[in-house]
Amino acid sequence: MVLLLTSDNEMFSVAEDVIKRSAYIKNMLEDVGESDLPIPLPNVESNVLVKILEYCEHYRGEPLPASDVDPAEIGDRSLDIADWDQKYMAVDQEMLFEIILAANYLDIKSLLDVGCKTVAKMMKGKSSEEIRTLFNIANDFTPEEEAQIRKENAWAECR
Amino acid sequence: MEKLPIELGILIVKELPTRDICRLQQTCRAFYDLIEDDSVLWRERLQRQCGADVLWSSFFTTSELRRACTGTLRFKHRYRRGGHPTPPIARLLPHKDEGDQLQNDLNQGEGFSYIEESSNFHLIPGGRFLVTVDKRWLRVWDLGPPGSLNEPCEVVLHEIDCVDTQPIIVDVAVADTDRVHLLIREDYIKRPVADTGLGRLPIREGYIKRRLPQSFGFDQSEYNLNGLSRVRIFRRFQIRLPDKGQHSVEGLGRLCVLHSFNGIYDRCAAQHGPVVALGIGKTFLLWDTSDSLDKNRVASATRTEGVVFFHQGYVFAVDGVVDIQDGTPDLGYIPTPQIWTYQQPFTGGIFRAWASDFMLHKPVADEGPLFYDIRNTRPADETLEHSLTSYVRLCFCFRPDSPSAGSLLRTRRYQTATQPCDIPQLRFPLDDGVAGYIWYDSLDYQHRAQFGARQLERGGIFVSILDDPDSPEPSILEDDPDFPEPAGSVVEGLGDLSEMIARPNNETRVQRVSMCPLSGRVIVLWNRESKDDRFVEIFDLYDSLPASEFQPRAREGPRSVKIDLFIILIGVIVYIVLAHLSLLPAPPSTGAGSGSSGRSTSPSYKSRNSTASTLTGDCEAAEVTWCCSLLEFEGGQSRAGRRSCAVSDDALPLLAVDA
Repeated sequence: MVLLLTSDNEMFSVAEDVIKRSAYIKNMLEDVGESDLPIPLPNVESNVLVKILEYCEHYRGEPLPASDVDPAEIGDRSLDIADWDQKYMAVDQEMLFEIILAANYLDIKSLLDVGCKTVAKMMKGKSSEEIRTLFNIANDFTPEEEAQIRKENAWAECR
Repeated sequence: MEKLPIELGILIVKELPTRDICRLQQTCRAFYDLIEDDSVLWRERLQRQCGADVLWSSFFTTSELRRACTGTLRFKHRYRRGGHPTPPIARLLPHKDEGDQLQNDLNQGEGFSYIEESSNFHLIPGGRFLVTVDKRWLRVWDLGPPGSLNEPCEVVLHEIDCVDTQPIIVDVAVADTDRVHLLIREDYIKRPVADTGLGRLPIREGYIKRRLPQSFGFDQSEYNLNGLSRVRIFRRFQIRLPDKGQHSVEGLGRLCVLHSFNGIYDRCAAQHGPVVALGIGKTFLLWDTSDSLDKNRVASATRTEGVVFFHQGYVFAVDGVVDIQDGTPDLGYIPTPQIWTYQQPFTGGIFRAWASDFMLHKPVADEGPLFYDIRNTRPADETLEHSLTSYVRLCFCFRPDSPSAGSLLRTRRYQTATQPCDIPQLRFPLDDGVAGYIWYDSLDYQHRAQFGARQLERGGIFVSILDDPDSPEPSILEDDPDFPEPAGSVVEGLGDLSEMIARPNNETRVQRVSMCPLSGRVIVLWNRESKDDRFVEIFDLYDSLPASEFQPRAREGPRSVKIDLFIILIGVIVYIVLAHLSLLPAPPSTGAGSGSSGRSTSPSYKSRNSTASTLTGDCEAAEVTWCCSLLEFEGGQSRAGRRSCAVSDDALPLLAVDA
């Protein structure tokens, strides 16, 4: 069992083969060896870690992806997301971004991919204005700049 | 959202389709800068879009990469249904073909019939550079980044000195980020012959003996030379075009082939790494130019006439006739290629097959399968009245892990909507299951005679966009003995979205087109028939001027080059002045002005013909069997090369490699 300490000082005890999906923890365990000391995770809150562990638990036993796979591999990439992953990602936006951040920090590549795909899927097919509303992005262009950019990208608006 | 660090933002952006990236970019400054400045993002995307090995972007700036990625989308927007696109502005390639002119005069004086089917320019994949070859010089032109209207600039000038021969570009292949392999063929200028109209009378025996190149060290008595013998010399060059530093040209070797095949040679060649594949008559040659010059190696196999291209270590040959055997003479340099043949018979009329690696369905995945497009046309009925109104698309489905399991699938039939038309010459992918097609009237003299003057009323270049060309996915029909019509046989008219690129006046016609789908650059060789002179124009398909700035092109007859240049110059000056006075809106980065007035159809370049990236095999038969053959070879390990060798094969009486 591995002990994890979240930023809000909650202690989690996790089976090693579950948490090894995190390359960060896996490497740390390999470097440090057996230890009774908890691993501090100052960037992860307990509610997020619960969610992350749910993911790791679900994929427990599945082979870990090879570490040297180039993420920009050639070939078709689609925004297809597995059913379970879709349900898993059906959370509010704040949690979604927390999961992405944590997946990045803990280096869980498959989860990071799913997170990014989920966000991309939300953006896909939407106009710039809709994206702004959806993600609460402030438009900081001047009207002139915006008109110019719109003109240059007129082709992007048509279907 | 704002909590996400930049590297995570990019991860999300990478998942998005190109169109959505550009919309996201418009939301706020942070995303705008993030996306605008990320060359890795665009380079990866380009790789994904192009899939294959045609990437030639190492010296593109980020904005050029972005332009290349979004080019097909802009194209689609311009040419969408109901739109009224303005034709792209043409640039002329400067006329520099002194030797050719000289030869032409000479020929006219002595009544030579000049070789018609030549191809003296070729766009290097990527669209930035153009290779031209004449009797004396190999030139490379920098046409500027896609969309720019710079004057073409000569960056390489290399003397090749083909004294007695007409050099013709057969193939141009990108070797890596800054090297290009050029394959040219030297054809002997034809002897004065009685006018057959085609100039294809047999060459006399004595002539061929005189023409055997001395440098190859032939002993003529060894070979059974006769009136049917032909000499073909292939030369291979490596051109280096580094981003910084000196451009250079290096010869990779020469191959002399004597044979008795009398037919179409053009474009039956492909290059991949050190290996060249050549189709000559019914013989298929593999020529390995690796290592030093004296280690050139050659292997041959029997094949049929047709198209050759390389992909992922295999050679694909697409043929109109079935006669593929293996086990033909192995010259001992390269292991005998292994050949697989796939064939499917069906009835056809007039038959023009073509295929090219531009038509890869999908980016290439290691495990495949790959789908290659092959097309053929056949008349709607037996009268020629409505001939060439439709074509059938076949897919050759190939699994690299199991070559023998490949199959030919007939997928769709397309019909040209409003006019009889030749087969689309190029298909290039747009976005989300949308493809663009480019075609032109390429009927040669024989076909023109066959189809009558009616076909000559056209002569421009046409572009069509076909929504959703690939759906439904081709279903596997290999078990079906009758190879039936695909479901919904006539699927969709390729709309007559013509007049887009260029509609010349009545007497100019397209001879050849070379295109790079990546950059949208198209090189067109026009011929003005009344004067039998030719000129080369450069178009950028993906960029346009606002309609208000467009004026219809001048359609008057020829004017002198000097006047044209003068007008272009004035146009440029006026444009520069206007731009400085801020009277023009910000140019859509193509630069505006010069084209509208300076554009005319005056002769500029005395090239013979050009080559398109597609290949055509012709035959006429009631029953046509489609076949696609495949060759595997392993270059590299074999005995040291001999300088020349002879084969007692009728199709290939003699063969030699020159150091």
